[in-house]
Amino acid sequence: MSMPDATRLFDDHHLAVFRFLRRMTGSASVAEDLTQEVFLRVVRGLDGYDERSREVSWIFRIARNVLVDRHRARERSPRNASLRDAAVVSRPANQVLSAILDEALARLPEEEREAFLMREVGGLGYHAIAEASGATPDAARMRIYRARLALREALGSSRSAGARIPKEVSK
Amino acid sequence: MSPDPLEILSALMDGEPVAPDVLAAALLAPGAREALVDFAGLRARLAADDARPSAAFLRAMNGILGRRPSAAWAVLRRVAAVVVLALAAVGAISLGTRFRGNAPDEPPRATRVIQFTPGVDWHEGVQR
Repeated sequence: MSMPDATRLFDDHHLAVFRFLRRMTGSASVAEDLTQEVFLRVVRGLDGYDERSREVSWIFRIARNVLVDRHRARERSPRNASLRDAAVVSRPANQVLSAILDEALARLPEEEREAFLMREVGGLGYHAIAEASGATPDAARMRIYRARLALREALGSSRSAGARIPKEVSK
Repeated sequence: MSPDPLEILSALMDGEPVAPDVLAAALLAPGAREALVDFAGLRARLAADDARPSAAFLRAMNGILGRRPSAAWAVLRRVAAVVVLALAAVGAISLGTRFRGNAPDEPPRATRVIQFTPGVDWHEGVQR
């Protein structure tokens, strides 16, 4: 396997990364900024690309790191964070169902939301999610399952009464 | 402890291998069928997300990646330039033809004649 080409990586993965980050942040403009940062880091990091890892895991690990850096920056400057939150809240919600789903996603624990969106938006499997997030495949599977149950309940299904929410498995 | 039937269905949704007898047992659990439909509905809602980054973002990324505009775009720009030049040429020729068509073949005829008498109306070498 040779070193991947940055342009090809961008063409193959930028939509999935953008949609993942948009769902994670709730804002398309923030997602654009973060997606740009992801692929800047991809370009800079090509020399250190580990051929043993999955390409998509590597990119989503970078996306995850960009999100973590953003969280840290927001914690350091809460004033900016509140401004950004206000912008997110005031975004137009054209589709009611989509808005409800966004709100339900926002209420999920970070790790569950991340694993679920990597799976459903990024198309990553358990092992790829584990590589990207530093968890085990079993933890990824459980996080996705718990996210599904929580979202199902939040979206108004009355049929989820019998579902039990499992405890998080060890990483 | 046997796994949660819905957990098995969730793994099935993710393309994990599930033994047929385990799947059959899971589907018999109360609410399992509805849960599977809801899981599929969640996936469909997220798959319907057609959000795309803006053109400005893509232009910025093309700059970062050192990528030139696509060949199709370059051809389109050249075709547009040729069309503009051709229209300009046709317009110029049309205007030229129109002016030349209206141009008279003879000088205009005089409508009045003004005569000056030397020594009366004007004096040679004298400036006023």
